[in-house]
This record gives sequence, C-alpha cells and structure tokens, in this order.
Amino acid sequence: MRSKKQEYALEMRNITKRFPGVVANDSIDLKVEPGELHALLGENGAGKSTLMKVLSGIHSQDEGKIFIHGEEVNIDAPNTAEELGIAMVYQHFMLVDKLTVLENIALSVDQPTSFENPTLDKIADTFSLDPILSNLNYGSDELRTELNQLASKYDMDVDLDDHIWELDVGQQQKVEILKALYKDSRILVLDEPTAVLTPQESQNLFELIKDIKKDGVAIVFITHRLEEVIQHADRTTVIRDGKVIDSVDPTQATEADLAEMMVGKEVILDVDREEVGANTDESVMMTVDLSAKNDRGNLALKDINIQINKGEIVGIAGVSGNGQSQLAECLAGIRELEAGKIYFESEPIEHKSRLEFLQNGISLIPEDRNKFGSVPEQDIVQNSILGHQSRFTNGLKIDWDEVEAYSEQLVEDYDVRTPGIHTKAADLSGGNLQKLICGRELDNDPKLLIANQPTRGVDVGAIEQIRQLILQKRRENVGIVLISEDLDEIFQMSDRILVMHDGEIVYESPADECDRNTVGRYMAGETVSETPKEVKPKV
Amino acid sequence: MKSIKLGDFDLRIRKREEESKYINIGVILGAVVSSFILIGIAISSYGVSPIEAYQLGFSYALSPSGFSGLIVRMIPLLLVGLAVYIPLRAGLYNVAGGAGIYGGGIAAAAIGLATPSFGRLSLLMALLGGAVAGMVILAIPGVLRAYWDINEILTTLLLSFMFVRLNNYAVTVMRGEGGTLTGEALPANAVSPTIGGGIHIGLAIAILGFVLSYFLFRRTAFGYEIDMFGDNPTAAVRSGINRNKIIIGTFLIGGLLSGIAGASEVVGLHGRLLPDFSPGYGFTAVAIAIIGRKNIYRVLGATFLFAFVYIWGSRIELLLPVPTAVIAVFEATVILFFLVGEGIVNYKVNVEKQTSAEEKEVSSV
Repeated sequence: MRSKKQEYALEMRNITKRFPGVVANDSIDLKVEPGELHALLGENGAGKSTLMKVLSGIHSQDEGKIFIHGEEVNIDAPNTAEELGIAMVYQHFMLVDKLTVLENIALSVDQPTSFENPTLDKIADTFSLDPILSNLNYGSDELRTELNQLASKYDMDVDLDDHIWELDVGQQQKVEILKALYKDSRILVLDEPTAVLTPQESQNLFELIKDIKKDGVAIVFITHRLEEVIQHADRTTVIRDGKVIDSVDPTQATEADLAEMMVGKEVILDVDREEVGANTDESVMMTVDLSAKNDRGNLALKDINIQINKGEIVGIAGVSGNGQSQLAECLAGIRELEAGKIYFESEPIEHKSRLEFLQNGISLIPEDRNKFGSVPEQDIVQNSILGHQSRFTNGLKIDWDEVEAYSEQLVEDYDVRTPGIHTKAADLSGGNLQKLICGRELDNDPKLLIANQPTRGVDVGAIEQIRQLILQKRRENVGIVLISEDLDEIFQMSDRILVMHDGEIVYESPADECDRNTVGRYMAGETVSETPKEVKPKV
Repeated sequence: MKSIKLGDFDLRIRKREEESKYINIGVILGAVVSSFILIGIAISSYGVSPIEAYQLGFSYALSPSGFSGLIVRMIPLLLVGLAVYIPLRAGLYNVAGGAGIYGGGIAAAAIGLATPSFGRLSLLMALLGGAVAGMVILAIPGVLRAYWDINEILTTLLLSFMFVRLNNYAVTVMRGEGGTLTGEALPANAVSPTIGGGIHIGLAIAILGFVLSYFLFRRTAFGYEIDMFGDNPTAAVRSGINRNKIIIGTFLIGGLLSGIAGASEVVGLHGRLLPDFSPGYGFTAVAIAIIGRKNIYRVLGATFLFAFVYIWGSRIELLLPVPTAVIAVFEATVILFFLVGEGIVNYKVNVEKQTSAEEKEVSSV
C-alpha cells in the first residue's frame, strides 16, 4: 500500500542540464520508492544517461533538486554520491582484471586486504614483518566473512578468490552488485545491465534484483528492452528528447504503448518483410572450407562453407564469441584466412586487400561503432567518407566542399540527429552514430553487405530505421549477411538462418522452416553430438 | 574523476566538460612565460641580472642582424619540425630529425665537392641529394615499424645518435688541405646565394615545405588518411587504409624534409660540412611538433619561439658569463610546462575542506 506520506528513496525534481547547443535534461522529475524496480526508458540520446550522471555526481545539474530519503542533497562529486548510498553499475565494469573478487571489493571500500603472494610472505617471514603486515590488512578476514554472508544471502555464486579475468560477464556484473550491496547502497543504478548478458543470465539477474528489492533497496534500471520493462519493472519513466513523457505502471501498458511513448510515433516492431522477386540462386559470395584464427592465435573458424545469394538475407545466429565476428572480418577482407577460399561473383578474392574488397562493393557494418566503425575524435564530415574517400578524390586532391555537401545529404537521408556536420563523432549518441555508419556503408552501392550486430545498443526508433535500410538493400538485390545475437531480429529479417557454435556452422535452414527452439538449442551447442567431437591436439 | 585526501582536504580532479580555444593559447603562453622566469633564476645564479639577459635577447632579435639570424635559425627548425610533425599526426614519433639533417648534410657536401664542373646544377643536385639521403635513412625505421612492428621511437633515437658520429667521420674524410677541423669548402657553384645578411635558399625551401604540408592535411586524401590513422588506427585499417603506406609514407616525408634541411644548412649557411652542425635541432623538432599538436600554425609559432631562444642563447653566451646550456633547459621546461598545463586545463581540480559532512567549503583552483 502506498501512502502519500511515504518518503521516496530518491526524488529528482525539475532537473535541468544543458550542454552547449542542447538541453539534455529539461526539468525532469523522477521518483523512486524503496524496494522499487524503476525502469528508465528512452531512446539513445534521450537524456537517461545524463540524468544518471547528474545523480552520480559526474555532471552537476543547472537547475533542480535531488532528495535522498526526503532530504535535499548536493551531489557535487561521485564520492559524495557514494557516501549518500548511491551505487552505479556501468555497462563497462569498474573492475581490475588481474585482482581477485575480494581484492577488487577491498580496493573500492578503501580496505586493504592480504594480497597472497609467496615472495612477499617469504620477505615477511625473513624480516618478521608480520606485526606490521597484520596491521595493514586489518579488514581482510572480516571483509571476507561479510562478503560471503552477503553472497549466500542473495544466493550469488561468487568465489571471492577468483580473478576477475576468470569470470564471465554475468559473474563480473554480480561482483559489481555485491560491491554495491557491501557498501550498503540504498539506491542502485544499473546502466543497461542486460545488454551484455545471455537470456539465461538476464533471468538470473532479475531474480537477484527481486531479492535485493525485498530489502528496500531502490533500483533504477536503464534499458531499451521493452519486454524486460513489462515483465519486471514496478514502474517506468519514459524520457524523450530530455523530457519526461510519462511515468506509468508497466503492467498496465503494452509494448506498443511504451514504444510509442519512447519514440513519439507508432513503431512497427514487426518488420514488413515482403517476398521479393529476387533471383535467390545467383551467388554473390561463397566460401569453401574457410578457416581462420582469432587475435590470440586460436582457431576461431573451422571449415566454413556458406553461400550468400543476391537479394537474400542470411541470418547468422549464435552466442557471442563463437566466431561470428571473425567470420564477418574474413568475408569483409579484414582477417587473413588460415585455409580455404572465398569467391566473390565467382572470382577468388581471399588474397586481396580490404581496400579491394571495398572497391568490389563489399561493405561492412562493424559490431563496435566506436572502435571499428568511426574515428570518434573526428567530425561527421571526416567520418562520413571513411573507407570511401577515393570517391571524392581527384588525383591527390580531396574535394572537401563536395564532401561537406555529401555529409549534409547523408545526415539528412539517414536521419542522423546532430547539431551540425562538424560535430565530433564521439558526441553523437549511439543510435545516431550507427545510422551515420549504416548510411556511409549503404550509400556506396554495395553488392554484399555484412552487418554485424547492426542494432546492438541502439534505441527502438533507430532499430526500426536500420532494419528498414537493410530491407531496402535486399529489395535492391544486394546480398546480405546479418549477424545478430537478437533472435527476434534474426527471425524477422532473414531468408535463411545459420547457427554458429564454436567456430562452426552447426545448423542451416530456410527461415520459414525452422523454429526458435531448435535454433536456441543449436546456439547452446546441445545437439551437435551427431558429428564426432574434434580431438584437441595434445600440448 | 580522482580524489586525493590530504589531511583535512580533499583534492578532487575531474575532466572538464567543455574545451575552450583561448585556454589552449593560454597554456602555451603560460608555459613560455614560466620557462622564461625559470631560466631567469638559472641565469641569476651566474651573477647576471635576468632582466639584462632578457633585454639583450629582445633588442638583438629586433636588430637587423638579429632578425636575419632568427630567420636563418627558423629554416632548419621549421623543416625538421615538420619532419616530426607529419609522422606525429599519424601517431608516430620520429626522433631521427638529427639523423636526417646529418645524412642530408653529408650527401649535399659530397655531391657539392664532386660536381665542380656542373655549374649551378651542382647546388640543385646537392639539395636533391640531401633530400634523397634523408628519405633513405628514415625509410629504415619506417619499414621496421611497418613490417616487423619494431618501435619507431627506439630506432629513430638510435639513428640520431649514430649520425652525429657518422657526420664527424665524414668531416674527417672531406677535410680540406692543411688539416682543418672542418670539411673542405664547397665550390662556389654548390653554395647558395644569400640575401639580407645570410638568408639562403633554405628559406624558399622551408616556405614551400610549410605550404605543401598545409595542403597535405587540408586538401589531400593522403593527409586525410594520416589523420584517420592517427586517431583510430583500427578503424582506419578496417576501412581499407593501408597501414604500411601511412607509416612508411610519413617517414619518407619526414626524411625528405629533414634531409633537405641538413643540405640547406651545408650549402646555404656553412658552405662546407662541419662537425656537430646541428645543435640538437632534431630534438627541438620533437618539442615543436608536440606543441603543434594538430595545428600547423602552432608548428610555425613554436618554430619561431625556439629559433628566438637559440639566437638569444648564443647572444647571451657571447656577451654574458652564461653557458648556452640554458637553451636546453628552456626547451625542456617549455615542454614540461606545456604538457602539465594541458593536463590542468583538461581537468579541473577542486580543493575541498572537510569541515563537516553537511557544510563543505568548495573552492576552485
């Protein structure tokens, strides 16, 4: 029962934050009760992250007040936020890979711990330093006990002596949450926590959140995924263009309602993928027994044989890290092959350079727009021709006037929302940068498009636009490889579905002849037993 | 954001949200002024009034002979500065400006001496020979970096030491009759004509080099590729930009510029090969390129500054009991102050006194 008198764990009132040229937050109100899971929903660039940065003391608001448990507070720095019991779990975890879980937590709470090290132990013995050392690691045993208690209370399978690098993403996230719980945080902010998780891990996370809620911790959770909001959130605040659109009880709303609030228009989440009269037998690219190593020198692709036809979308499903990125890189001419051949329009092409692949019309939308797809420190103009600069070059000379006109056109055609074409790529929101990259790759008449996770971390509005762009290319008879971890995307878009597991194609089927269950099982590697397991060479 | 506790005080360091143009100019001016003050202290330790020393420098620089001396110093500094600046925009450090200068100088002297019967062509051949020599030398670290990923800072640094010795050896080979300590004087045909008290053909070359470098980055696809590679090599290579072309290409340009700088010193300023004719220009060039960052006008400004410091240093050494080593000190402190200053302007430091948890006095520094 909610009484009006009940105080909010967190209340942000009329928060306004301006950046040069934009109002990122325009008098935003946010109220979160203790024990509430509050979803903050909005497109990329809507202002969610800015609001949370204000809360965590990274930015300070220009106007507005923040109340924690009814008391007005001035959060001028991250340390202040921490002292007030606000904990942030970012998408990129703030953990030291080489240290153990215990050491990481000790580090963050200013408590030294015993770093077990044989050499140091020996020195300590030789010089009888034990009195001094025991003084230095005062908290370690207590810390260990308390953390173990916490972990078992919430049923978290975390081994305090594991090194961070040994843990998978889901476990690392748990360490971050454990850290927050240990600090007795009353307000926990999770920035797109499920973006990096498998469906099973996400399920575990929500169970954990449920337990944490019971203790009265207020949880703010930033997300794009509508179904998560509907299934798990107690309340959701939708932000668009820096303003609060509404704050609703998600059980009373449908996905379509929320999506509409988010983007301001009705979103067609079911893509209209009409059958096209494309000649789907004409191959654009074909690989024969393609094998390749990953950056660590391990075999990441084993005897891949695939064919991509004109006007066809080949969806490649798989849990991340099963060779999809390496495959994309091989098909785009970036990664060297270990063995095998690639035929492009019946010509062998595997020995050619990336530039020649590009000039042949093989475009790539990479999985990481900041690292691989753009030069963040340069502006839109510079980024809009990356890889295609020869189109604007006459002899040695590059025609910047023409490039600028082209950038203007690209920004307009592909709906890149930006103050101007001289904005740095780093200052664009994820969705807008992704649209810029898609625009750049699609605008050069590709014959083959390799799209690796084209809609990852992108808001609903941009997802729809990007999918439509890809479908448009299909209509134009372009061969398309779509790599995605989002099964919905794979099923909605693909003509043919392939599943990758452990560097191999373990399943292939026309899209309308397979079901999600089967694909899911192959993704998990369950039904591969028909082919004999490869014997690993002895080292 | 970092926080350092100092007793009752909390030092909080955070990244500035917005950058300002004026702040960058302020940093450079601040670094220069503080360096002048700091070496003023060093000068006064020799019992010389720093005010007098400053006056001497400025009045000399404004005099006709001082001004042409300034231009003559700027010629090699600008060329070698660009030789470091261009690879630096691709994220590569060329510390072998000195090697290029000496290599170019040796080649120019040898060609000048060997071609007395070629008329004025001799001068042209000497200059071109210097440029080619520089390119050959700088191709080594470029190729090593491109194909075997051998750190270019190490190879170029070692090359620059090597060529100081090689030059001294070349001087003994080209020594004139009578056993002088310098190389034999070049025939008149190989020596550049001069104007206005020693300003030689190198000025035209330096201006040309500057203009071409400007157009390289403003107007050419190669310049665009260098910039993209410099800021994000991974994305650049994945977009079909040829890594080896960038690395070797920028080093070849660096070699050309530093080689021709050395050649113009020999044919223009000295008229012969001298031992140690480059007083640390290769290293000063690194300072110039670092201050230049991504702006070629700043390269020009830094060149002017260091040329001034050079003539000032040699002037006060001549007239006052102060060693020229103060120039090296000045160079070092300008860079230190500049880098520290850049750090400070990009970050904001707040000092907070922890009086009580509720009331905090915040003062900005």
